[in-house]
Amino acid sequence: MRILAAELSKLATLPAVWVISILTPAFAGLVGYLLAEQSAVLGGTLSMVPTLLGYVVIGPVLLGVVAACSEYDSRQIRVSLCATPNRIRLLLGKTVAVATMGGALGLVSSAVGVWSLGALGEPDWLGTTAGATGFQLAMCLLGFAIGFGLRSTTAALPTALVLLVLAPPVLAQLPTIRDWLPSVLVTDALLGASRDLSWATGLGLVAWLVGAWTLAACRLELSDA
Amino acid sequence: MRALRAELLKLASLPATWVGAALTVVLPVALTALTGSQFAHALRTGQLDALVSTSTTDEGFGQLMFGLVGISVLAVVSVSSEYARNSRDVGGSRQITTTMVAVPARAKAMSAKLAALLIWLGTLAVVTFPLTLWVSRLALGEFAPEWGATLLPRMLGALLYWVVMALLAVAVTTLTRSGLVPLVLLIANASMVSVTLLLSGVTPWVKVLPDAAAMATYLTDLPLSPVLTPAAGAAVSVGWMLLFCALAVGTYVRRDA
Repeated sequence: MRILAAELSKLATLPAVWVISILTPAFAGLVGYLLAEQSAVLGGTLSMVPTLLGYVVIGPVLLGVVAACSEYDSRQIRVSLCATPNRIRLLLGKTVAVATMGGALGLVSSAVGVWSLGALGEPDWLGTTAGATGFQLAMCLLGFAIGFGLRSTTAALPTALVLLVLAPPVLAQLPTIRDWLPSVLVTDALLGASRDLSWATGLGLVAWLVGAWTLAACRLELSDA
Repeated sequence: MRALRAELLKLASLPATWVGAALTVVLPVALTALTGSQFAHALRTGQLDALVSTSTTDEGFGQLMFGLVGISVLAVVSVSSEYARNSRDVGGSRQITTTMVAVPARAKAMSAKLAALLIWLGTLAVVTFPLTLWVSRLALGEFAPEWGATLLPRMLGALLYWVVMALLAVAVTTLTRSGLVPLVLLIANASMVSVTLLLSGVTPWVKVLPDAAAMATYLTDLPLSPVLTPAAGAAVSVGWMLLFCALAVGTYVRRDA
């Protein structure tokens, strides 16, 4: 619990985290409003939540990357390791702290997004909001794992943005690859029309999350700080 | 010339520069190979449902846009590396102090930095453009379009797009002294879910934004409406280029290190 409290207070001292926490819901509101303006032509409002998340996902990804890379950009990792020499416990504490922040950010920006789309009160709006929150939490955790694995904002941010934001629309014509991308798997599982969490989707999703976290843990455990 | 040579050496000594350069070449070529062959297969078998457009004129040229991922990294590190602190073991200093001691004329130092970046971009374009377009022709086979006399102007337009976006990245990095904002702005906006595309439903003036204006110089099937003509797009892009250069140089000259 002390590690979690320490990690949460470290996150709260980062100006970038505050900027992301304010701008992401504001951006969700703006994008939701613009999409709602166009929805008269396109049809449907709640069905536009996955499109909304295509834009808003940048915030949680950035939060995860910044939370991980801030340790290395300022060499804070040495102090962190002195305070918590057990590296896996440190990473677990950090992961829970980032998940807490990412979940809260996801919930607020999802709620603002659904509200600005004008979809509050539509059938299943609560389920969709919960799904959108889960989506943003998963993206935040993947961004965090990539950041911890690569240890540099300049390396981790483009990697995370390409994998989680850029790749799904770019590879739209290649469903055999696109359908296994993490953001597509989470969308299928939590926001799909039937929300049918098949074994394949669930396993793919777990493989991405656990695999990325395990790689980050290996790098932390085996490499010098 | 000595300042330019120094900036070229500094850029070449950054690992991120080489990663950015590799991404600039590999991403457009790989994506062209993947989507081009899939496109040709869909056209051959008549399975056109998944296609946004059946026109092949932008194949290859469209994928050059994704070189922006590497270009962004290259442009951002060329400036942000100056402000990154060394390890505390060696004093925790920043390279900018050494740069300013070596080249006290700030406008000259920033101009040399911009020139070094443009030389890198030009070199990468010479490699990436022909390779991507050749792979596009190979992947499309009998469906490959005849570019004819438009080939060179469109390649120059694509180069203009890269240069405008790189200068935007330099200007924003110089203003914020951080790579976060320009990396997010440029990489996320290079996708189909770009904010430019979203805003196009609200105002027609989106056509004069830097990316929309520069894309109009080399793409024919832009998902925006209305779009500028290639000549107008080039003129607007040159205007943006000058503005970004002035912003970068002006900020560098006037602010404390």
